[in-house]
Amino acid sequence: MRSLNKYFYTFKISISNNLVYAWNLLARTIFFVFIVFVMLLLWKNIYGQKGEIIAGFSLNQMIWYLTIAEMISLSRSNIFSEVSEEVKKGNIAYTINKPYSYVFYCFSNSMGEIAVRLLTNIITALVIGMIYVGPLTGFKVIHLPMVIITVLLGICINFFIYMLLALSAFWLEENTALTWIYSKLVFTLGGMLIPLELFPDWLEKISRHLPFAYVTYAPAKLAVAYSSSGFINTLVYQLGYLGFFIAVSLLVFRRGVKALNVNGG
Amino acid sequence: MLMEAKKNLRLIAMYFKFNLSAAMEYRGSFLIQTFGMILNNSAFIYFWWILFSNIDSIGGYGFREVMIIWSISSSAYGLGLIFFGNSIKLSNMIAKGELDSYLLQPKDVLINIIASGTIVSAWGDLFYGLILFTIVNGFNPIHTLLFLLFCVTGALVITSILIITNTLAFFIGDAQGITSLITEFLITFSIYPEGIYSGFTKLIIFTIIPAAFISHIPVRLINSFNPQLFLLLLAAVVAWLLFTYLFFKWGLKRYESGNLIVNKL
Repeated sequence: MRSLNKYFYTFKISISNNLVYAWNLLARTIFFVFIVFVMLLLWKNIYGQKGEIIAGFSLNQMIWYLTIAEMISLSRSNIFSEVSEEVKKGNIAYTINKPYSYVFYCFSNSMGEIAVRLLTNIITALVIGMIYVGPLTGFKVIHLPMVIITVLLGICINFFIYMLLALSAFWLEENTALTWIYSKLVFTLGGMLIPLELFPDWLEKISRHLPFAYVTYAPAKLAVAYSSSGFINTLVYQLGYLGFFIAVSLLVFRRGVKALNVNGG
Repeated sequence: MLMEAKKNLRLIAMYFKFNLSAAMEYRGSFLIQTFGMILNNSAFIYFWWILFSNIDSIGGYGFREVMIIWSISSSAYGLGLIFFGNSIKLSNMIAKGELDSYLLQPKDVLINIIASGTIVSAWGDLFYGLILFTIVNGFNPIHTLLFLLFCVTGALVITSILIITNTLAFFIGDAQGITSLITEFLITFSIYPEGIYSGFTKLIIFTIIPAAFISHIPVRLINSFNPQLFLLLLAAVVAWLLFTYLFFKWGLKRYESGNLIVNKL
């Protein structure tokens, strides 16, 4: 248990560091409010033509779905640029010889940043959801713990995928394009911009097995249309993918360190 | 006046040549960033393709019109940042007091500053728009000519807004946050159909965040040319340029040097 203390302290320090940058927090919140507002305008127009239910979603559910998906996506840390920079500049040489696992150190450090972002994003999501379309219809408070678990797991999967992409810096000099591609896969196949139910059947089937859907789509869908079977299915996929990405990150890190070549001091 | 314009155009062309050859020095990185950005933008085609497979028109636009506003916005943004890449870094340069070397040179200060830098990934935005427009519109010489012209007018509007928001740094110090937010608003408003905006939002896109002049009016003109609307567009662009220039000059009077010795290579 004591060995976990170092990760907890890293987490605590990271929280206080992030609370200092109030303007950044405000800018991100304004962006969140704005982007959901544009989505609201778009979907209002579509619902105005198509009727009250589209692919099983009412306008109220659709806006809450998009708000929650956006909330998850925005609750991420800068882990990619931080780790990539450390690897490229060679600063990582000073971190890997410390008495902790580098990957888990980054995880606890990021969790402080993510906790601050998630908390502000949850409050923002609740306020904008209520103002834009009113309370989420059919939502029961009893389902909240399950929804929160899947939201947190989604955030963790997202973290380890970014970690993995950042570690590619051990071999690639210019790796930013990888995050552009990944974030767009979450936008599309992950259902962040549009629920999977609107996809053509064949694509929906494929997307349901891919990790991207378990970052944003699955938790957001559970929040707006909860079912026990949906929760169990989501949990199984999320735990499986989380375990997979943690294992691969650790493995890639170990390989990367062997390939590391730092010049100078 | 004409001589002055010719001199400034020559300066912009020289910087362009110089920046391009500097970017080409790292050819691999240039290609990865360009293709990465093309791929990144392509994700949104998927989003609109899914939406339009469920509905025929959104806010009066079909799939083709949405792709045209996307292509104009993307190419205009790309063009603006290829030629005037420093317009995005201006607030940082002001806050750090890095303008001294530009003030000493016998060239127009604003043009000298903004044209002396470029953004490599902006080539991806430019190519993406060109390719997308050619695919959705086919090769129609008049449409293509109009498209190219609107890329230039759009680039001027985007650059103006970037300069204005960055110029705020003369008055408030760090203007990075407000610049990214306003740029985000401008680009997002310009890539959604005009018909989804109404009332106050519509007023905003025609005034303080002039997204309508980047993409919405151009798409109207490409679909059906109207000389009065065309003149209105040109007048709006000239007005924004004039205002930007005067605003920057006004701000520059408050400039305080950071006494940095900077090598401008």
